[in-house]
Amino acid sequence: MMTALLADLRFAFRGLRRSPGFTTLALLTLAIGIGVNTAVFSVLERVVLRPLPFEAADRLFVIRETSRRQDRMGVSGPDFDDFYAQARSFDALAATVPYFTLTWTGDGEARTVKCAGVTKDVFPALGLRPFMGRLYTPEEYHVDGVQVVISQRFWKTQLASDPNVIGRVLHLDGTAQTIVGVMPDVPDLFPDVDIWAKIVPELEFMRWRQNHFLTVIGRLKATASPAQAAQELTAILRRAGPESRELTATVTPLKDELVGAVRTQLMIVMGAVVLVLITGCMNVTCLLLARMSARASELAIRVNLGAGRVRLLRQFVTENLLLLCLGSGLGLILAGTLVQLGARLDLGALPRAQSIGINGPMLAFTAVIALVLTVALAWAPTSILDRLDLNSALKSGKSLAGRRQSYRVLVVSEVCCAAVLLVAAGLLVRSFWLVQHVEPGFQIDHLLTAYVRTNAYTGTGAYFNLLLDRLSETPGVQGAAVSGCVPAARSSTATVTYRDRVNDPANPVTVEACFISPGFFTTLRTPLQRGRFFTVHDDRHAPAVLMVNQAFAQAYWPGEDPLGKQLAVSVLGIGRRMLGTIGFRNVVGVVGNVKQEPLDVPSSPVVYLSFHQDESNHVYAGLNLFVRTTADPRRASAIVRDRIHSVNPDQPIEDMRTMDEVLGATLARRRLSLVLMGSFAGLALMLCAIGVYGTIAYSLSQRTREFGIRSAVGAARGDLVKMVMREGLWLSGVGVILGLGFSLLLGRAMSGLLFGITATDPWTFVAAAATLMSVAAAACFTPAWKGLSVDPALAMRAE
Amino acid sequence: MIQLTNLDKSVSQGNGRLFILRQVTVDIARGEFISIMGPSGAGKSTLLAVLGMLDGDWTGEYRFLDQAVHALKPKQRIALNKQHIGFVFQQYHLLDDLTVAENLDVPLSYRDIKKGERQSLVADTLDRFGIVAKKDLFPRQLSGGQQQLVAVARAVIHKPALILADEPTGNLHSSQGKEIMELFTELNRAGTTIVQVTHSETNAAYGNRIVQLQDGWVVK
Repeated sequence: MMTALLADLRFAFRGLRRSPGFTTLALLTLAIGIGVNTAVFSVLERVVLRPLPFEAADRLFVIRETSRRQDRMGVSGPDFDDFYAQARSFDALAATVPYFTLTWTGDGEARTVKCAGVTKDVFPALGLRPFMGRLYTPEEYHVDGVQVVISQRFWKTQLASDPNVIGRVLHLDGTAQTIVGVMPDVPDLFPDVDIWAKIVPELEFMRWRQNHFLTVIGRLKATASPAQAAQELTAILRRAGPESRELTATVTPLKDELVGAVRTQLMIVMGAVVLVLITGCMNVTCLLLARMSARASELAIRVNLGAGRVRLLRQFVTENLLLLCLGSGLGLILAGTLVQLGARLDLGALPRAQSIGINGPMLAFTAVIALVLTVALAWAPTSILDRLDLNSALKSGKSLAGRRQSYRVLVVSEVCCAAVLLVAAGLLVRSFWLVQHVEPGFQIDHLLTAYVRTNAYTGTGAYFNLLLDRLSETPGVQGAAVSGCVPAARSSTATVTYRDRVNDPANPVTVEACFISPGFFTTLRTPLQRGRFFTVHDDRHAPAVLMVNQAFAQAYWPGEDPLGKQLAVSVLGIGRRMLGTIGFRNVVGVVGNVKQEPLDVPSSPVVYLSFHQDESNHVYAGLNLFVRTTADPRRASAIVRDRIHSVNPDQPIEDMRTMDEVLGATLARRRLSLVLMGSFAGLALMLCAIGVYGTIAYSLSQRTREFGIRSAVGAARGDLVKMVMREGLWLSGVGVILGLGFSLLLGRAMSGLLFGITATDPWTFVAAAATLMSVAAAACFTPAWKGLSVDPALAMRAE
Repeated sequence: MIQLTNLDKSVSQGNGRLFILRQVTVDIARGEFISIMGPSGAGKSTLLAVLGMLDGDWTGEYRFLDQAVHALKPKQRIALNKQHIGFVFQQYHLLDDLTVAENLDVPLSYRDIKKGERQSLVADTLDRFGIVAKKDLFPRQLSGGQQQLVAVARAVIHKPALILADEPTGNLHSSQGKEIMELFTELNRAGTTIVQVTHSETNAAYGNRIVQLQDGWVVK
């Protein structure tokens, strides 16, 4: 048996070497199909399928609060305390603040370190133990600072993997803190943490019930259901203070919270590569059929020498298996390369993307694909054996007459797959184009932005004034401003109360809100539509003023003059609390719509407030800086940095980027989808073209006699070319119609990825159909023109 | 009708050329029934292909209905073929995927004839050859004789002035062969010029002249 298998393998290897054209084309097709599938699967497996690396990960849930005016907020400190004390559905409850920053000084230039705040139950709930040293003790959780636990990443990259790091002192935000432990990295949940800071329950902001800033993670008891837990937590909120009575608690699996947003996106991409694989598989089937058909006389001789059907099938399956093993090897190399390339591109935009690479599941997936394809491709030899006419094959020594029905099915299927992918890619391309052409409401070029954090609520108003003055005087700087928001990337929400109408306290109006300095709109070059911009005189001593954008004016005062109207604005957000009654502000200006949300989100009403008129002074803790430069803003970054440090040498500067980069980052996931789907659609189109070309060429070679007869009875070459083209285009047309039909059915799944168009966008469908028909026409014409140059007399005589 | 003068046909072989037809000079008048005979490899079928303008790679002179075929471009030759010539082959060469009626329609479809007229011509031909009952059958459902009958019907459906037949009875038994030869005689009486390639003295006897070929030369 073993000897026979080895003989089969040897023969298969010889056979492949004897047909280098077939072998190269089949291997390339298989490598592309298997490679892209393996690469995408490795991303899907790592990001979506792999369980979270925590104890009892399937019982970890995120708790959020929802009010009538805001969906899925965090949990406030007092609400968390209530949950912690009263909830019986959880084995463990822990709170985190996933991201904030501190300034690290005393070791060269001041640096910003990324922190995550944790309560004492976070690490036990996740089942994580220190890599070095220890965790905070329960007592230490009641004292801010003093001790610090750092991340393994920080230990390696910033402290040179110092083996004596325990006991070393870090100066964070001006306080000396002793390192007591190093925690292993938790990339799935906290990808970029340097410092694990304590959340001290006694801190003032932990007592504000309106400050919903905590992300709460709970491990559900085995006997409890998420619905029961949500019900219990909501009941606890009902019993709490008046601010929490209208809230509802929601309980979401931790994994859904992390990857829910990209699951559909990745599933669609996986579907796309499966279609690429199917298309490639059909190409290989065509090639195999052609090759098998050409070997009819060989088959006949083998049968006459006593080979049974099973024996012949084994020989061909061995050949397929060898082909697939080689194809899988090349596919794995391609997959590894693609994953590496992806890591350099936009894969970082995905959650849990840190350790995507060649791994066990990836290899297993490739092996499964290879096995499935071996079985699928066994159809080709079986089909040939079923219709082997020994007599004619032996007599003529020629190929078998092809069963044209099979080829028709293959062409239709290939075109159908390519149509589905082309429509999907077309929809994404059109969405991306539309997003990129959204008017942002300001001039994007020559604009530099950075985050300037002070962590101080008092005395920093004058600091920012001085900073802006220094920057404005800098050569090459046309304007400078600060704001609490970054257009298209970051903004706060606020509730507004009108002076001129009855307000419903149960359903307050929620809008976007942004504190800005006087030069904000002139720096961004946003046009004033009515009234005036803020001036330096709009400070805490002046009457409170505000500006609204055009969308606000149209939504809430249609046909009225907004100037002189009055609004009270309560700005929400992490670390903010309402301080008594909020006063009314006069509307002094209306500006054009500046995109506060990402470009692919419609413009919404926005109120702008003078940054010197924040009642809580919270805005001074950190502001975004905008600098308009005359030259390339990247080149100006060093001088801007110098200017800031000339005011405060220890001022950390975070996220210094051009506005182009900011906007580009907001489209990262959309771009990733586009690049992936576009590439796969291109591949499918190429495979489809090769498939149609090969099928038509093969079909023509099988019909030489027919064309000879047609020529003899009067057909000119043009007539025959037209006939072949008509047949090819008819089959392609059926494929296109089927593909567009499937696209209509599957389009709904893509709706979430689209912008400005629906999943049934007629232009995209028409463009996809036109592209495919053009490619099909070219793929039909070339073999038809070449193949039909046959001498009819010879063709018939050959018979 | 046909004047061949010093016609040579050769193919390259190694460093030299292999001659298939040499200095062929033949005149065929309108209304003749000619049989081309000779041993295998004599060049009979090649001569038929040249006469039918399926093969244009030769030297010498060929005049057909007073037109100098040797001076015509390939498209013009095809046009001449379409208008005046019909073919019958030993292997019938019917199209397997088409019915009898559809096979008869094929030559008409290449001749800019309107569909209505084509249908009427097909119906007339089916009736004339007595194969109306077979019109929806595929070639594989017919006997050899019936297939050749359809092939002859297809050759004459566009009323050609010349029928070229390459061993038309080679695959038929004697009674079927006789029927086909009688059909040719009938067509010839009606004015159609016929040139057939045959090995059979009996079939050659149906014609009024024999052209004998040997090693590419006309020997008689």
